[in-house]
Amino acid sequence: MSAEVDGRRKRLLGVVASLRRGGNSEALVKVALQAAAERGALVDIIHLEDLRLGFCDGCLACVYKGDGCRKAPDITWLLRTAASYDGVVVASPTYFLGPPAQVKALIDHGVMEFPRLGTRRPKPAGAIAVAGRPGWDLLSLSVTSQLAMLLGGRLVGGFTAYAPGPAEVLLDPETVGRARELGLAVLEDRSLPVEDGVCPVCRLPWDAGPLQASSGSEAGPGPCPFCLYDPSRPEADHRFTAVHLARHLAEWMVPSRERFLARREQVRKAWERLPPAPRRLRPDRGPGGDEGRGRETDARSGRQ
Amino acid sequence: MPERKRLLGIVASHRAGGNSEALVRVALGAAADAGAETDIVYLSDLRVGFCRGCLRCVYKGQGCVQDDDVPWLFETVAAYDGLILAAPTYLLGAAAQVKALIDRAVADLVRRPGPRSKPTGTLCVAGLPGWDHFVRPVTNQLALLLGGRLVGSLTAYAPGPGEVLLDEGVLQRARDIGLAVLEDRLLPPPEGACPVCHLKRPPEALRTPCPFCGHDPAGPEGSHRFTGESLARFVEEWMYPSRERFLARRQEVEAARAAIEEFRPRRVRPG
Repeated sequence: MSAEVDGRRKRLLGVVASLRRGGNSEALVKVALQAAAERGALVDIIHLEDLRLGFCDGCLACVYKGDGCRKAPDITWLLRTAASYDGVVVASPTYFLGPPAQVKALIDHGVMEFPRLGTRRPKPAGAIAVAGRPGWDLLSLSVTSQLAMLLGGRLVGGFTAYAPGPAEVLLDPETVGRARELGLAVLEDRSLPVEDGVCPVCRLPWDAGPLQASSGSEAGPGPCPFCLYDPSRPEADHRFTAVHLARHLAEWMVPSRERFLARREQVRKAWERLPPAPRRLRPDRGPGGDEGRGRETDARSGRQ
Repeated sequence: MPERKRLLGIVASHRAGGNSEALVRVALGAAADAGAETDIVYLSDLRVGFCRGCLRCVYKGQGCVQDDDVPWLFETVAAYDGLILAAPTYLLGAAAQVKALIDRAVADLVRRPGPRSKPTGTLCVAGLPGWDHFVRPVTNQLALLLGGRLVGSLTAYAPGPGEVLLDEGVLQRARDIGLAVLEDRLLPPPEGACPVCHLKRPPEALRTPCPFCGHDPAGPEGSHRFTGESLARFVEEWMYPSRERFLARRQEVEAARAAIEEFRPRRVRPG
């Protein structure tokens, strides 16, 4: 039975990326989870509004030392927790043409998982993007898919739903049906057909610049610039597979440290040659008002 | 003698001594040599909250309910004659703090409507070519929302902090952008990309409207989604009416939501 694995019931995780309660992302994650639960899955849900989220400062300690990010304990928790499930469904809203910043903040921190990818078994993942209206969502599904692949591993399906008002999407039976179908596809680890005109791996619309025609050749379109899916070699690795990311880590990120250290003295001298530093402006918050600046944003209260 | 122009640099990176900071310093330095007054803001000094999507800024028009430094940033930028914005690339796109400001820009657009034409330059940093597809359009989106008129933009490749300072070709381009902002002079846009937001597109697609910024090569010059005029129209013609449409369906939505609320997956939280 598809709802079991190794003699136990499968566990599915839903992730609501919206910080707005009772919105369309929450509604569609619940619909997808409910469909899986009806078939016997155990289902849990994570709301990003319950997490302290912050911005990655690019220190790369997670890459060179391993063991997650000390500055972002809740994101470390989320990535580890998601990896313990048999499948993941993620839904994100769209603000200004793409997912909101908290989705990108998780992706930015996702580099902490790179050293662990070799030991992670890819799980099926589904991505749902919600946007107000078509044409204003170029980055929504591909970036939500990027997060789904980070949390799960293998994208089995993804779609974009259009609904401007909170939970309004529930009045659209076709979209509700697609969310149910996605929940079942994740449960059964079964890939859904891909819509025409989008990259079959990350769902970036073709017109956005993926599949640039190779200039002057008849070689046909080149690979997707976002996920590197190559239509002439569909079986090859794309960028977000564990194998590809582990190679990126081993062949690029780790050696770049040595290359940098070899040039460190030159870089230090170049800083000294720069023109004098401009005046550094900061908001005047009065005495004691500087508390909370910097990286740790508390999504639970909307404040730092 | 005309008054000296004032340029502001914004370092979006939270890493001290990184490539974004280095390039802003170089671009501002060139403008300062040519007579500008220059100041710099580090986003790591600011409290920046995530947009909650409540839309109170749109429907009540009194700014954002969050008490942080984002309104200060938008107001500060408005007082300058030109802007230089630098951002790093993490995992194929601009770092999340860039998107956080884009998400929060709605409140500013409602509070300070009207045209924006401040010359702005962007300096994007990525580790490696091919891993940076979304950094230019998204960084340029913030530049257009903050300043209004993009005059020049570059992407530099440098993996280690400050390493970009060893690449004289890139430093020269950063200086050119600093001077172009000071002189409000448009530099040629890149080839094979949308001339407004610099999204890379296939050659045959460039004749059609850009799916990101909405620039239409057949439409009026300089038109795109992030102009003050376009955004005002967006708010008037789309956001306000969508509220009425929603309120008309509210009871139906509530009934549908009540049905799904009966299904309660276990909510897991960090300990």
